[in-house]
Amino acid sequence: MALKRLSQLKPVAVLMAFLIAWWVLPVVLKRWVKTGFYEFQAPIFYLESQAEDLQSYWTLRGQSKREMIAAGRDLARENARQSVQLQEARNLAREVERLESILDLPSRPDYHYEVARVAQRDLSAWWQQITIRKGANYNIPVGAAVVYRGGVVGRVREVHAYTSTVELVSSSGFRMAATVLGEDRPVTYQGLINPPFSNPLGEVLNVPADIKHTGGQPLLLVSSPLGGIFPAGLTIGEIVSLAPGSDGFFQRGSVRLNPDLGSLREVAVVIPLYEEEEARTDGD
Amino acid sequence: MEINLRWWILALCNLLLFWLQGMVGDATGALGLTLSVNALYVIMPAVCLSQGWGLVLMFLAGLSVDAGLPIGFGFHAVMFAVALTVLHAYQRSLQKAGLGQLIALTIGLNIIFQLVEAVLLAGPLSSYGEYWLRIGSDLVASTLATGLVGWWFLSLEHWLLTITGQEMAEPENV
Repeated sequence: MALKRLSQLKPVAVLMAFLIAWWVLPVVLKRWVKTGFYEFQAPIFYLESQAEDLQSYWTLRGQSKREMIAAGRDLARENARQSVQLQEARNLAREVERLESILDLPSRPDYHYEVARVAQRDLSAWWQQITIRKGANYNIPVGAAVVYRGGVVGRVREVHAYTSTVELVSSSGFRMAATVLGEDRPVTYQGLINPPFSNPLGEVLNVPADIKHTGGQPLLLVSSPLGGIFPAGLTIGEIVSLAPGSDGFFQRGSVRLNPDLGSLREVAVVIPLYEEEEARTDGD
Repeated sequence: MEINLRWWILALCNLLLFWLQGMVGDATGALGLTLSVNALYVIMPAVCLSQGWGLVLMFLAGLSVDAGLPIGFGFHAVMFAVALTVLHAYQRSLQKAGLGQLIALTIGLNIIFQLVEAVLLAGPLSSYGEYWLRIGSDLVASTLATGLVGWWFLSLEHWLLTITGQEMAEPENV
């Protein structure tokens, strides 16, 4: 009878043996196993992303010559416009350098932009992240800012051999220093949630009490260089509401983020030049 | 050591499911929806494998899910292992169950998995109404997806076991 009862407990004993074996496994070994599992599955979505590119290529091949000529003409116009803007930007940079040398100011941080394709998106209720097709092979540093034409995308959370994981600005664990456009006082931005069938949301904290909506226009929230990661002035989102915080001194409000965040195809990793030099020195 | 063909078939099926789930998640993420069909990793191994082999497969599936996520490594592995052990206790009954009954069980288990995740991973988000709205919509979409995908996936696993001459039950359990 007692033996029968004991045999009934065997499945639980086996489960406990597995769980205890897992819990006592050293952290270093777990990290190694995690990296192994990730690198094993990375080629799956890497190839999937490459196949998507190939699909786009064959779709474009099917377009008529007339459409391609029209697209080429539009691109040529855009190139001409961008060339003029580039010239202006170079002149402004030279002017900034000249003023910095006259006023003996410390030089502004310089960045290198590494453009990368998005391989996979994982946008759940608890985390929002994307995987990009560049990793340690392109010296992508952990913690680097990631941007796109619409503004801030997020921050590099993990770097693997050929891919990197980027935590999106809408992810609930994401925090960064920001400013309201036209203001120089810093505020805190944090990601919140991605509700169904609507724009992702964020939250802004520590907003000075005198900042208010004027004429029902939403306030634009932009990145601040205070965090040392993001270049200044990149769009984060629009502050749609502000309410007094619990301390009575500051306000908090909700931020509407760009819906494009969920369908990005290409992003740029912002690598500070000093980090790139350090990585190159380590490599040597 | 004898090769457990049944284990390899179910492992490959789980790998296929993992790939498909990633691809679907990539497409539905922009809509603010997550389709989770994690219960499908557990059902057939609980029905067909011995507990030891089943736990090995659950750890592999769970660790694969956890590897790219910002959560404790092993979270899903432990969840799947516990579910497998509970289901394994009813293995003889499950081996006699029809496809419809297995799908109903999968849907039930999937709802439990999602509720466990919703509670354990919520953190400070639990105080926001939008969070529970998102969880609710994910739950409804995933339940529908589990019904549809489950019918195909469980049939595929059963068909692969049949054409390779594998019985539903491990020889020692027959």
